[in-house]
Amino acid sequence: VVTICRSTRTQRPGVGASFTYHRGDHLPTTRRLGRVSEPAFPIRDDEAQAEEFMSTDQTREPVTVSGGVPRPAIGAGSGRRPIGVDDVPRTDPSADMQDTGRLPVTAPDGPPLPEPVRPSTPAVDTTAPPAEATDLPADPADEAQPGGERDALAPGGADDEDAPAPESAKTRRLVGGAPPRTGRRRIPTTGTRRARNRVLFVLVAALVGSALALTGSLLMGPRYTSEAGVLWDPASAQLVDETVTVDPNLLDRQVTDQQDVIASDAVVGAVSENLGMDPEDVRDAISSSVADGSSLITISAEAATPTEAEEIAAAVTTTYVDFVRTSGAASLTSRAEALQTTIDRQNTQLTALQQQLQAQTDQLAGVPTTSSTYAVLQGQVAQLSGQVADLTTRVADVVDQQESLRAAAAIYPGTARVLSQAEQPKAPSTFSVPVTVALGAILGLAVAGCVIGFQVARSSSASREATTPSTTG
Amino acid sequence: VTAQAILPATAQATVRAGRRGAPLTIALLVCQLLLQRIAVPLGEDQVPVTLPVSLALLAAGFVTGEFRVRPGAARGVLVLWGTAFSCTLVAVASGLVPSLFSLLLVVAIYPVAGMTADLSASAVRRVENVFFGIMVVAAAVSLVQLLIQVAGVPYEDYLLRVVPVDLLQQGFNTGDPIAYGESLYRSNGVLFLEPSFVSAYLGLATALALYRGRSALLVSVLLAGMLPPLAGSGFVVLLPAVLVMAFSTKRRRNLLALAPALVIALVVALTTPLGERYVARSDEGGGGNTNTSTSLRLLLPYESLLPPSVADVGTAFTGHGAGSAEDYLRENGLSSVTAPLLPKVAYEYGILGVVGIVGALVALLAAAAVRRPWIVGVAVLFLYVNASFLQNTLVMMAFFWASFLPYDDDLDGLHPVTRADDGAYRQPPGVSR
Repeated sequence: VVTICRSTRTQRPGVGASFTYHRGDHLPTTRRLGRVSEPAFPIRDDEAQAEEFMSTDQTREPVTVSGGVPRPAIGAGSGRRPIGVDDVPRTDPSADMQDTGRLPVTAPDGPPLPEPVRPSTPAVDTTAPPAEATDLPADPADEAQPGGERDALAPGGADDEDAPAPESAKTRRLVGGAPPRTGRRRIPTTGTRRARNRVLFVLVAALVGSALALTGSLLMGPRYTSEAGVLWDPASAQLVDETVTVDPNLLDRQVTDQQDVIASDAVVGAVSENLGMDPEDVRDAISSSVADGSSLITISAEAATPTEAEEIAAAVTTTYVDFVRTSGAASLTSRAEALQTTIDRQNTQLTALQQQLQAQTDQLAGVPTTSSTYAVLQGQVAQLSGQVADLTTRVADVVDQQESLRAAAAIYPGTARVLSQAEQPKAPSTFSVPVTVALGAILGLAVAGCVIGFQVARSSSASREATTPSTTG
Repeated sequence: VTAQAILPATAQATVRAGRRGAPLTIALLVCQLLLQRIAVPLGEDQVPVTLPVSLALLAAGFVTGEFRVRPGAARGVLVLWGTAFSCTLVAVASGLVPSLFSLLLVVAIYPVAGMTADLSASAVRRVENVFFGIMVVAAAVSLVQLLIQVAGVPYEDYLLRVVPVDLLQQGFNTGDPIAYGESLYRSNGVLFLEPSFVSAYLGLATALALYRGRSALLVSVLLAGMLPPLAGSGFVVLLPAVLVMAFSTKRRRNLLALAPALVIALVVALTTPLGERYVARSDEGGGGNTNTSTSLRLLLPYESLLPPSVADVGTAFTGHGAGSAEDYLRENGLSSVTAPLLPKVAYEYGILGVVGIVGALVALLAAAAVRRPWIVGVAVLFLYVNASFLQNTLVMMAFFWASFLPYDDDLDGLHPVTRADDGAYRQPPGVSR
């Protein structure tokens, strides 16, 4: 039985706990046996004593030291049979203590304290239910109970976090486990077991993470992405006799609008029809992006196989470029057809003028040249001839314009040009299985690290509260 | 020995009180202010040089004892990290391809939020004085940038004269006209990433100067420097602090230092086009124009990212993976739309991320703002306005001033606790906590 004690320079109770250590147990169990009581008188150097006892050789007699007060090792209330004189090889307790040089404990100003003896009755409060060793805190704050050690240690209440870190290394060693001394076997303490548990937790988290990632990866399968590059060139719009945009903001808007064109029903519908796919599946598979300040549109298609990805990307790219080209060409053609109305109207007018001219010419032929009417008719014929010539020229211009539009429509390249064709991807765009497993393990480790770090930080905060001195007394 | 164990606060307070210098804290501050435009290429991405330098300084400070971990804040950061890791794990298991670079940034940027500097009151004052000094220079540079343009010298990015363009951070509007087609450019203080950054820092410096009761001259210079950037960030930082101080009987008198600055602001507004532009900018959120800075920052991100965040049950809880928000915006023709904290985290880490990441950040900043009224605006800027989640400069700005630097009351508590005759430990007379 080892009793850990902690003292202050006041008469407040320290933090104490008792451990029972059963030789032969693979993983020794510990149980808290007693509560902390207020010391009866000062002691000399309890931490040194505690460290000594934390490293007590297991072959030696179980000993008890408590804050200068000889405290018995008892099992009452622990639910376990205490280690007794029949369980371990007996040596002389006083000799054992003298060997370690720990006792007799001497009060600062008083006579040597009596050596610890094993009283017949427990001197500690055994009415309290025993706590499992796993609940035994490495930090005093873990023991926080109303009226318990925390209250005793931090009567001033909680401190804010910006206060300095209170926990010294020695304090942690004292309550969490002292380093083994040379030539002696270390008694597993709560600290070491906690470390083991944390390592185990981290390993389990890594395994769970990798298993989760592996399962997801196998269920989802690899995905492949094929990309094609399309340049949107507004200069081609000049062929359509449209005003070329010079405002950079408007130009950016025009380029980004092409992303909506790519995902439009016209393009997606044509692709789905060609590939025999559902339009929504096509729409889900494709995406497009435009780099900042650029007119380069990247069309991507993701699918379960490289071939499918390439087919979709190529089909979308081709369909989009064709759509842009045919749209422009159709615009030209429609404008050419719109001119036909003008041509027809002008031809009608021209025919009427020509008929009128013919009539005037016939009439003029029947009029004597010396007649005054002849001069009038001749003037009218000349005017009609001029109108016919003018209209004929205009009709010819419009017909030329119409033919130019039709020719432009026939050769119209469109405002989008394919810069890079879609290719069959050689590797999946998703993580490969080994990478996924490794990533899952790393992320699992990271999550476990965060959980452990959180616990440590919480213990540290609570410890700070427990050890902050009172400023009010 | 035992007394040291139980009275570490006293001992360490003595140590802190004896530490008058703050070399690493000042280095951290100077680094975040002066090196924010410098970056080193890393593959297709860039790493701001302030990130590794800050991490190195934090590590050095931790070793030397100038910095330490704050357990409570560290728990918040661990919750943030744990949530990011958990959501990323689910994303990987779901076949998504989260950006590991983005996840690494989450890990690398936020240690400062869980740490604090162990400084004495005089050391903190020294850090603040360094900050004021740098920001006075920045304000002067900001004003000079505007004045030489008014005098006819065209705008130029002077940092490009000494730093290769490959080593400058890309993707920031370092200098842009006050309006399309205008010849006047907004000031960025040369060394700041954008006009809004220098404005925000000047707003913070002004708020801190007011809180500390510094001279009207200092406040005026800082406030005057806020005008040429033509950015609302500085006012978002400053106005809440002014409001809080207005309701504080202890600090209300400090606001008198604003009077000369307001006169200067009025003169500048009336003699330059800035006044008209400020009025125009203050109204640009309305009218349905979606191409304004206000709309791109405050409206469109939420409209664009929040609905798809919860559209799919499979990704609603753990998100689409780290770094996917920018991809989504780019794929939907919204490249110019920024991604503030909430919509970015909601899209990338789902509802769990909103609870774990945004919740942790809100808690950390709210806890700090309770006792540091001058950072209320910084918190608003960080949480709502800016795309700050993975922006190292903004994270450093928020948490350096919100929690890394000790607070006044902590400084008051630095006086060594003394032991009275009755055995109790008390602070010396005249020291109130």
